[in-house]
Amino acid sequence: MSRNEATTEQALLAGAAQLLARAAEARALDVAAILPRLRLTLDKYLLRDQPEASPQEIKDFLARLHADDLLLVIACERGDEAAWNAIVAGFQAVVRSAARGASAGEAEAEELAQSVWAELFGLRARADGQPAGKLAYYSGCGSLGGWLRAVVGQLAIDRHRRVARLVQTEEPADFDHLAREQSHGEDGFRPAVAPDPEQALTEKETARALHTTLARVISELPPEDRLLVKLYYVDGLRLREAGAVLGVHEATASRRLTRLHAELRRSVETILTKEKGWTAEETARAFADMTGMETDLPQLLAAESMSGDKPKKVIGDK
Amino acid sequence: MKLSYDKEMDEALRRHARRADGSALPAQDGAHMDADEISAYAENALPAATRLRYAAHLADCDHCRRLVISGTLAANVAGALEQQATANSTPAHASSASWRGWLAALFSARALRYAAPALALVLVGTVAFIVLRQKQAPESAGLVTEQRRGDAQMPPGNAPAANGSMNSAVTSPATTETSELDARESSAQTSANSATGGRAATNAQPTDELMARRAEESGVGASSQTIPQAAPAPAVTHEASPRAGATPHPNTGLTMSAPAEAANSNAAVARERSRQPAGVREGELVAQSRDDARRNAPPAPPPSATAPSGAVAGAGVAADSAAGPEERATQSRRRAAARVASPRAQAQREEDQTRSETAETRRAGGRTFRRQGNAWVDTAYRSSLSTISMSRNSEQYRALVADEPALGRIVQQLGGEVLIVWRGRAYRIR
Repeated sequence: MSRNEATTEQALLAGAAQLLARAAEARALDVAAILPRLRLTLDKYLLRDQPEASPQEIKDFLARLHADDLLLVIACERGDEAAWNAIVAGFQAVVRSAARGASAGEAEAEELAQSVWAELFGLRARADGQPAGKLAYYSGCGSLGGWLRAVVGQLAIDRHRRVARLVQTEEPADFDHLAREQSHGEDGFRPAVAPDPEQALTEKETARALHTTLARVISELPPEDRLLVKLYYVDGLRLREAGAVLGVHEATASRRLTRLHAELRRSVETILTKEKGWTAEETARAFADMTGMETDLPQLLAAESMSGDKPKKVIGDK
Repeated sequence: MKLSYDKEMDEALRRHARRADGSALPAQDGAHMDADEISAYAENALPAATRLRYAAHLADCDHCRRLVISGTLAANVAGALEQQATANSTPAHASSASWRGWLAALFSARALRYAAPALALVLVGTVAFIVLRQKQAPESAGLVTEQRRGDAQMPPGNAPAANGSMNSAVTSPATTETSELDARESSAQTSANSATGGRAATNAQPTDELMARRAEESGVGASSQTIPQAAPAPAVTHEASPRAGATPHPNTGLTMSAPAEAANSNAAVARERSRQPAGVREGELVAQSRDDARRNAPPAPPPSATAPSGAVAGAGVAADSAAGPEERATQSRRRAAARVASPRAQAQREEDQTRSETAETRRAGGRTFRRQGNAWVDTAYRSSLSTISMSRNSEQYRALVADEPALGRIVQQLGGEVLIVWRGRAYRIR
């Protein structure tokens, strides 16, 4: 064992002992019983991204694990009856409420909850005959309640995928999404009929170019910035919620978003002028057109599909 | 200008989002996050580097992102984050941001709502207190000064402990008792004034003044009229003063130690005195205090080396011998008043001291703990130490004991609430 591995192992042992000590109920477990699980967790969540983590960082990471939840789960896996009773008694309500949130009706929710418990109990055997309990995947990083909610959510999505093509969870832009899918091709923008077909074409091209460039620039953003953009614009979250997902305060999220606006704009303008040969004026106009354009697309589409010659609104007149 | 930029950019992004981008990755089991990763991310329970890795996946995968979103909202992480923000602005963190945060919290509307009336009350109380004190200032100042001197003198403890305790008992409780008496007098007087109306007051006051004048001039005459009970007291203190005269010893313990019996009689005198009509008593004390103030003023600034109470006794003796029997009586009465508190306080102090040496302190694990209220407090405790509170039932405490078993043993030994200093930190265990 290299020196690094030795110190890691030492830190792991110390952390395991501390975890047992700080739990309210040790459930007749000892360091040997929990060590393998802790080692896996440590590798998966700390050492994979920080292979040179110091013993203190390892200790701190282990100190943050939910001791009681983890010991409860491990005891259940070892067949401890009292632990099973405890987990059902303690978390039945959580599973049920999560199931209700992911289901259309009470019957469906009940069925979903039962499936979850069945999966936990491991009644669905794996191909090699080993019980396929999901409990083995609980690491103790998050709370047991949170993990159970996620399990319910995943199971619900799997079910719905089997039932219908569309994903169950709502997002505000869905309707527009659908509308566009049905009636448009690749891009989501279609102006109303303009008196000047050439102008309309130009505008369409302009917008398409802008969006393509924007897509490229966004994909090059660092992960958390990209995630923020998605959370706020695609998922329609409020800044506070988006910040919560990222683990930052609302004010921080707001500052980041403002910074991103400026950065993205600069990048898009640079690409459009340098690579596509646009003038600064053209670029500015492309952005300005964003706010001046017709936004009520569904109505627009309905009008358009009814009669092609009737102009709903003239665009481009400044 | 910037606003319009933001508006345009904001709108551009909104439209961009509405375009079908088909960024959801195919539902390969290996590619998605498992429930444990999702809930750990949603609860902000992952180290920073790991978070970044998952953020990259979440940015591109609608499926997992939606699960994380519902997990986050369910975990009320937003609320917890705000709590963390306010917790970080406590004085525990030494940074300018927290300073401002702390000040902001201090001056926040809610705090001000309660702080303003509280402040007003405090101001009114302080003003009233000062006014009252000023009324008594000339009288009590003299007493306090001589008693303080006595206290300062004591620590070079060649005196036997009992004496020392008695003396210090004389000084501080005497001060408090005297000021209590004063306060009671003044309040008694005020109530007497208000209750009985102007006539009684005017009656009382001229009587006081009369008494005072008489006391100044003839001493015994006036006082003996009003306070027959004082007679035994001077006799008793007469006993004491020759002794004081004989040995103006720095160790005033000797002086004071005399009246074990005198103490009792003094106490009796004091009790009887307290039953006297308020105005009369007030006048007497006023007289006495004024005498004190004047008499003690000349020998007032003694170097601390000389016997302070001895100086008092000495001055008293000198004054006694100089002024004659009337003066002596007044002096003795004064000293009796000063010692009014002492017998009771002396007894109390003795009791306290012995208790403090046995049941009020305990030693455990090489440390000494003193009983304060319901808690055992480490004698090494200073309020400048950072203190961490925890309950015996908490995970935090169990972790601490796991790290420091010796601390756990001490806390267990003492029981109840314990304030212990450990490695430069203070822990309050309940």
